[in-house]
Amino acid sequence: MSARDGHLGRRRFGRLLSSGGLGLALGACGRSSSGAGTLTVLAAASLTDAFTELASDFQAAQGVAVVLSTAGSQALRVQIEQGAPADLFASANARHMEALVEAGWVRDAEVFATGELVLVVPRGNPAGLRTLEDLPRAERVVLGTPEVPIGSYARTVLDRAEALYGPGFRSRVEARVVSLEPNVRLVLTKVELGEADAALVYRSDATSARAVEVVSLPELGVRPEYHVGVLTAAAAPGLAERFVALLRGEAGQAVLRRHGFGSPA
Amino acid sequence: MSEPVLRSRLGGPGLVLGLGLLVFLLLPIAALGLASSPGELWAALHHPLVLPALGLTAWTSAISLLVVVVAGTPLAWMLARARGPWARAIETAVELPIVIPPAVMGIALLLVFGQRGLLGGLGVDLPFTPAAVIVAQVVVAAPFYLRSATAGLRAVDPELLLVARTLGASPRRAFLRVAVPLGLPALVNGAALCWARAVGEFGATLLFAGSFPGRTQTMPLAIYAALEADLRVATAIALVLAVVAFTTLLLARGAQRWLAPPAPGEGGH
Repeated sequence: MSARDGHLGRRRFGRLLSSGGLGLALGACGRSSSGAGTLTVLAAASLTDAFTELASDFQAAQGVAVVLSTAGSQALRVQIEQGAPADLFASANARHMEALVEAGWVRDAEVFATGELVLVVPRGNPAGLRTLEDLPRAERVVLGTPEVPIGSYARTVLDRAEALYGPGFRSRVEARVVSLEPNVRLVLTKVELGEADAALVYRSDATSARAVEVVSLPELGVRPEYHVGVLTAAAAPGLAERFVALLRGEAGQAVLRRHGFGSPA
Repeated sequence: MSEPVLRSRLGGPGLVLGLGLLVFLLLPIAALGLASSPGELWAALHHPLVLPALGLTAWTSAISLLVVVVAGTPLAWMLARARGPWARAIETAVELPIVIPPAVMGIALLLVFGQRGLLGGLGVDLPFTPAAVIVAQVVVAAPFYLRSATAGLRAVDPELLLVARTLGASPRRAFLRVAVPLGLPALVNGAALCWARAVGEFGATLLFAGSFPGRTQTMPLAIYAALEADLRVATAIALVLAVVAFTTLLLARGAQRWLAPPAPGEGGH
């Protein structure tokens, strides 16, 4: 384990403690490492790969340490509301960002990327699914639970498909659903392992998976927006602004594109 | 009950450290309790995810416990009686699921029982079924029973078994009528730990069985699903689980005391 990993682990431990309410007594060991030369970014789990690359670019260009902590947007929102010491929040979901802006935790938020829902099937496409219309033919379909963004977007896709392919489409698909996973990576894992025949995930996640094939859904056009905002309590607001500039700029957008994200509409 | 002569009075640092840990352990649970108003608890009980999850958790964990006790007691006996480095290696190996992250155990189970798993060709279709929930619970929770049961059975005086054998008891009868009753407190202790671990099982279940309300979504998975929607609902559901688990474990503890054979020095009462 490198020194940086240890550093990150300590930070995360400190954050866990503070989000558990025990931070008052023990928070000091968590906060001591957040010097002026450190940018702490909380990012939605689906941004992990892209932000890891962006963070190392930023680190190299600015000569500062970037601590990246990824989790579900909801979990990150809770951490921020519990006073987690961070500078920047990138959310996969507008609802959580709006709530944080409204409550004054985040100064203002802007869209920096868009996602795209696609159908994934195991490599070799054993169920022979060519378009979304074939989805009811799949024996086991896995979706996100309705509470998480990927689950609610999947239901939007199914609703639009119902309008396109006729009434009953959504319920025929739902009859094939065997699991409602709590995050998009787990949805994808079930297809990668060949346990599920099909799933609806973000293109960005499908890009990182090797054992799946992607079926695009151009006619359905569900494009969730990713928001980024600087925390009100940021210790390094200047660095955070510069990271946002990187995200919005051509270099950042190129990295995001390579990881399967689209530009803001 | 008479007071033992040596009372466990610890002054100074021992007391501070011990009480410090006690507070540290109980504070998060207390915070969980304080986070929910009675009204929220009532609402949590009626949350659509809760009753199916509670029912599923109850019956799957009961079957898991039954499987572990029925198969685990003979295994613990064999482990307790076996000698030599191989026996110790096997004893250590069966404890590995305690160390391996449950999510990894879930993947490992898929590698065995999944569509493309080692036994996938046998037509066993476990993933996404309640049977998969039970398999996950058994794999993750059994080591807790085995550990306690092996230690308890090992402590049984071999002389007593020898006496039973010389009086004409078969090995099976000596095991069932002498070793099991004497080891019972340890077996009950192990069973309680095993059940508790099965009820709290999350990672292996999520990976191996998936999460579908009423079919594979146990309480920990329901809490996690609720967490994504509303933190307060999730903490209230968690409190419901904590209360159910506390009551059950307290009963098991009572049973353990009741089953304990009188210690040599306490023979009088």
